[in-house]
Amino acid sequence: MSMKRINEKYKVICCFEGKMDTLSCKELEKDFDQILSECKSDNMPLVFDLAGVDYIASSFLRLCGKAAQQIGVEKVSIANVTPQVKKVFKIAGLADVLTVS
Amino acid sequence: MSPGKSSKMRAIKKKAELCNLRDLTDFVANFAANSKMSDESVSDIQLAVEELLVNIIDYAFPNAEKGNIEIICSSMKKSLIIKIFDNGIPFNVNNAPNGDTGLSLDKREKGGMGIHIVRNLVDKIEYSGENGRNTLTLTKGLGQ
Repeated sequence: MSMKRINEKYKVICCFEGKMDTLSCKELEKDFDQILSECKSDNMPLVFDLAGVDYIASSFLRLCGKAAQQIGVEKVSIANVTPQVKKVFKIAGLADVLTVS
Repeated sequence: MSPGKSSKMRAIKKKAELCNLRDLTDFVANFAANSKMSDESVSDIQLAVEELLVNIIDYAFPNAEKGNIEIICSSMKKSLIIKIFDNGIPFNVNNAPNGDTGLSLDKREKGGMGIHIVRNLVDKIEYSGENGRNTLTLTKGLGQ
């Protein structure tokens, strides 16, 4: 499990890798909060790149929800989701609330 | 073998602590994979079990003394049955409200989403409590 941050001119991309289970999310939360805080102060959109993720738990959905609440739902997008991951977003009703592609 | 008879069974028992979560969920995933479930169904059952275990670990043992969680996996001819036992505070998941997926993010209450996900990933979930022992039984078809 890992999270890599890429700063682009007009957005921040968080590239996640591996299984985003409850333990992974707890381990990443502090670094993620820091990224959120900076996105908020710099008014930057945040992209979750999930190309390397094949499993998410509800704790990961909470991270996405937290991002949307803190920096604005229109500034958060979820990219490169696998069908299995998209299924979990759909079940949670987040596929229609967030931009998931 | 008769159609409903269990062809194999495996069990694991651990303290109800977050550090044991992956041992427990990996155990279930490996059992499901060895029962010839599709990758998608293996992931479904692993996620369902993870959400239920996190609930037990977070809420069933509020005091410092942690109890135990035992999981018994059985592979039937057409379905996988996962039984999760704990000796914590009883919690009937079937009485728990669903997370409201129609609400905007800022109006959603914390919690409830895990159980909602579980209900959508397995065919059946049953709860029973007796003599201080809670049992959750998950059933998922092997062919899905």
